[in-house]
Amino acid sequence: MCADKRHMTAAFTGNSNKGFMHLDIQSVAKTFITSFTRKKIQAVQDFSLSIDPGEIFGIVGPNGAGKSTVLKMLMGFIRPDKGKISLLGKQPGDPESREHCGYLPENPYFYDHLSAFELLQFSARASDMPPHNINPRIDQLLKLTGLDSAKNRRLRSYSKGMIQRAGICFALVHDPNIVVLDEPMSGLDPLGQQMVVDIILDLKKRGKTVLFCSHILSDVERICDRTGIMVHGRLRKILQKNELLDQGNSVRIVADALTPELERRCREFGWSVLTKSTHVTITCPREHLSDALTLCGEEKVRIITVDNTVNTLEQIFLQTVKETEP
Amino acid sequence: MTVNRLLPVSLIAALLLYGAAWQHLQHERHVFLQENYMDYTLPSRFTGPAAMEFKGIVSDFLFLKVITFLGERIGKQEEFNDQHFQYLEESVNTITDLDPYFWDAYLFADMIFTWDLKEYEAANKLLLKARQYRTNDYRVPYYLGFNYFFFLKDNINGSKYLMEASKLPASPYYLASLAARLSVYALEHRIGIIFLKEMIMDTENEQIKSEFILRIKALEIMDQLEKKVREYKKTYRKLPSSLAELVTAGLIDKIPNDPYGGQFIMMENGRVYTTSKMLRKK
Amino acid sequence: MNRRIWSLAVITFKEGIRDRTLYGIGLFALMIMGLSLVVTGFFLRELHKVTVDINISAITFGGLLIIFSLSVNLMSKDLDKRTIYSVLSKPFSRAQYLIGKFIGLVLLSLTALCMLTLVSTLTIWAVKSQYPVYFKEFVWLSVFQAVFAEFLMFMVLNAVVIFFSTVTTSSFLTLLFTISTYIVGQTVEEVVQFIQSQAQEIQLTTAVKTVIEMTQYIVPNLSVYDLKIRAAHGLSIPFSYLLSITGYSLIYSAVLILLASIIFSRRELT
Repeated sequence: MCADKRHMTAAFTGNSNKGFMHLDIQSVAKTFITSFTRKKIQAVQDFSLSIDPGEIFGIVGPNGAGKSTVLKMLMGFIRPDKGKISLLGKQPGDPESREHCGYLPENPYFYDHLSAFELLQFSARASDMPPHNINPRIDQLLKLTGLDSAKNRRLRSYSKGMIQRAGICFALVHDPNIVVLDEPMSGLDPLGQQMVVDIILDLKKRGKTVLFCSHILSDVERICDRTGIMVHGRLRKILQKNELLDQGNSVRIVADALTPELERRCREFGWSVLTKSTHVTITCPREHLSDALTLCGEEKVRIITVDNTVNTLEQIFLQTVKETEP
Repeated sequence: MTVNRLLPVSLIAALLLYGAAWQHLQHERHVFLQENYMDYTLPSRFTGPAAMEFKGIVSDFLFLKVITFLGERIGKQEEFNDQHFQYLEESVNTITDLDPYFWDAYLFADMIFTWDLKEYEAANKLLLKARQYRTNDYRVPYYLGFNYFFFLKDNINGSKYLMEASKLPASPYYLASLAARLSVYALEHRIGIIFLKEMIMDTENEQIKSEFILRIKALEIMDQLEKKVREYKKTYRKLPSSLAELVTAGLIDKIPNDPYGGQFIMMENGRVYTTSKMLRKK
Repeated sequence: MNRRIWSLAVITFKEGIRDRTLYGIGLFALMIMGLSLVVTGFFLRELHKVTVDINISAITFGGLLIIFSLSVNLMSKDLDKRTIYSVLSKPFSRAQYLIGKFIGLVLLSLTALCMLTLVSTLTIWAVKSQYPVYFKEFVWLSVFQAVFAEFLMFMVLNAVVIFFSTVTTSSFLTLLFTISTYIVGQTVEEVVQFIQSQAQEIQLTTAVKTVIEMTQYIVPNLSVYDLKIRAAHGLSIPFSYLLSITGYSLIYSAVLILLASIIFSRRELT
């Protein structure tokens, strides 16, 4: 465990009272052993995270970074090899820890022959919702997610996006205090994605805790109070929303080539440079824009476009991934 | 285009070929079955565990196989031989091991054993097995008694089993008196006639019925002859030396013919029997 | 009963009862029962026996098919298709999950059994009114007693399905182990009796003997549920016997579910 990360973790956990913590993960590690070759795969290493009530935390990371594994350990599907997890003060091994918890699995799959309505009834009853609240709550959610007209159809006739919506309803029926969502946007059309964003923001407004992981960085950036970047089973960075906003002040210049001189100068200024096969992206603070453009002109590099993207998370993400590469 | 036309043509050709092949197989199979076919039934030590909890329905299936196989041979008037006996004995043992209460199987085998195969001991052994399980069924000792009386001409055992049958529920009212008389007048033909007349009423099989009628006919003649012998004895205070003396004395016109094709003879004690032993000549 | 467990039982039951496989199995059983209308005519006197044999066998066969296809599927699909993640994100303990599933499966078997019994009752009644002379020994109560015994067997087999699906990772293995348990359970009594009766004639090593002796304690003795032959002949079954097999089934199922719960609680759902 590197020193600065310990410091960083302490900064996030230290200022909150222990009992008050909604969700607490302490230096958790998990190693899988492949059944055939007996090879060890370190899925999660030294993972610590605490989330306050009313906070939205997003985990981003490349495929296979261990995001889903962390969420599964939270839900008690997998036991960590090391470390401690508590949900509302209870351990995942205790079924009660999930009483006020909603979970959406990655690529959810439900019973083929049930209707969305029956599925949600089950979800509500299993969470001990008072019977008279169940049906109005289900109808409200189905309307919200646009499944109202299909609520009595069997789930096998649902499209992937509809299943995803049903899964979101399943996680939210009993109005849980902690909502854990694994790739909530996957399979959804842009309208659906906006719907999920709205739902999450609404949950925050009502003081709920949301932990989710996603590939769609722009949404994560937009809605998360904090964002963790996970690579190779480790939480590499945790970004505060204001950090991202600061970075949001930067400007992106897309040019068609990169000269060694240009690269050297960019480094000097501390601008980030990202080289791709067809173009080069230089990101610099807004006040440096004219300098950067002049520099490009001097180096005879053709500028394709200039924009003030808010996609700063992408930059940090790609950089973080690159840094961890051996 | 050509492929589209080729496929239906090939299909028709293939179907024609299939028809021919099927016909040929039918023919070959028929010959094969005619030549050397003898059905078999696995012993119950294999069939039992293999049938698991479906012993009842397996026994039904095996029994259906037996009655169609043997029934077909009866229909064709085929002579039964040792092979048939073995098949039937094995099958019925397996069937009644699978379902020891299966009366149809016991009765069918009993009929074939006695009437067609003349294997009386096998028949009685089977009925004794039935007696262990069907303890409340009067028909089991009834048929046992009948076998002793009719086929083995053992009236002592016959009456013993009939007596047993008469004590069981739903047995016909006449059984008790029949059993009693069978034991007292152990050798009287008259009793046999009553017994057989009752049996005819219970029998549906025409062949067996005619067998009974023939037997009754013979018994009635012998009964009649014995009556005449007793009349002769009353008049002459001695037994006739032979049946021919009854004719000489004018008591009968002539010695009647034995429907079984034998000759009636008089024993020293005045009883009348026949040389055919009431067995049909082959 | 715990409302949570019951809600899981209900969706398990609904998911099973709406599966098309069920209609196929039902149709198959109906065909066999229809066959009994025709086939009984071939027999001589004991038509009631043949009718009852065919009908209860059809019920049993249908029930077994439901366990081997639907029950196995309903358990292993949860793990294969990850439906279990959604279910276990609710406050179920692993044991509660298994109990809920078990109750759902038993309900499914019970419903199917009731449907099949209803139809076979009509079939038997039809044959009975066609050949009333040959149904003098027939007793309805015996038939229902035999069907009840089959239900107890289905309960035990459902517990076996639950147990093996927690041990194995594939539906095929669950199916294979369940069918094996069924076959061994059906034959173990006869095999043990055979060995005991022929002790002198067959030379078995003590090891083999011990294995077979042990088997009869581990594997459920499913022969005790086979009352078909007695039912076919209208022989009544003592109440104490029915009580005894009921107790045996409940305790055996409970032990299996407990074992399964212990194993499943340790299992990681990756």
